[in-house]
Amino acid sequence: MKEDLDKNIDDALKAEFEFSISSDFAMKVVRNMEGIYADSDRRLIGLLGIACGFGLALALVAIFFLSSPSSLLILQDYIGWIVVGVLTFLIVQFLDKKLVLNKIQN
Amino acid sequence: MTDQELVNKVLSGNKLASVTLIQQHQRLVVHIVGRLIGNKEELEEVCQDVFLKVFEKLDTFHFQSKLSTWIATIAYRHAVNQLKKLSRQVSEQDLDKVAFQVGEEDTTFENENFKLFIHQLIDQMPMQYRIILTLYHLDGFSYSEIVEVTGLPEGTIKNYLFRARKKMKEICEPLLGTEIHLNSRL
Repeated sequence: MKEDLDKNIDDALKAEFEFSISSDFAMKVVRNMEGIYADSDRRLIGLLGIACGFGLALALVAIFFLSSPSSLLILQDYIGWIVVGVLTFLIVQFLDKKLVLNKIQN
Repeated sequence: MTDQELVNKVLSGNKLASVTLIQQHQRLVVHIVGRLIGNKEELEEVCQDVFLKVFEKLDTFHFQSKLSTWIATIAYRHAVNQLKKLSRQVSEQDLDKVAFQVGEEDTTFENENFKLFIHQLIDQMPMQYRIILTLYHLDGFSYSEIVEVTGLPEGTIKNYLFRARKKMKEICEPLLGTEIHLNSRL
């Protein structure tokens, strides 16, 4: 065996070692990915809910201010920026979700 | 199917292509993660994380290398990060300072036992040696591909391969024709 040591070491180095994973590993990974995206969907819906609630609250505040014309002038300085912020947030969330989902959905 | 066709299908949302991509590369990922982490319980979970990262980053892969090399790079980096999280040794160690142990169970030094013995020696080597030996011998990676995966210079890789083999011969030669002690954990 001594003279074959190099060859035996070579063979041993090329031998598969005993680390195995389940036979349905690939399907498990794909299912996990779908689960992650489903969780992400639920998070998005939650965020949309919060955003809608926030928008509704703003609308109520705006209606309240409408009853007092001088207060409405103050609100006018900020309302534009608030609306732009909320819309940007929603658009970014939507686009991000679209891009991720397009990768893997059937 | 070429790498490019496969990647395009995965990116267009074909689930079967995703499964194919995993099946084609799971052996490679298992080799890398298994050799570095060395824990069978964590192996599958870490391999899953690797593939989730692969799919997450697949749209940034522009075929500047082979798909297998790119996936191996992700697997290597992820496994090293896992080792760091587990506070295990990831810095470069000197092979000559490793005190190799061969375990508890008496057995003869032939055929399958010899392969097992060599694998046990590899498992006791520093991390960089383990990964280089695995990529070069088991997965047939070229020097340049190993450079890409590990970030080590080509000269270092050649030197590690040479020193690892020399060390294995040094350990094996005195044991030929005798009984050795195999560790029963493998």
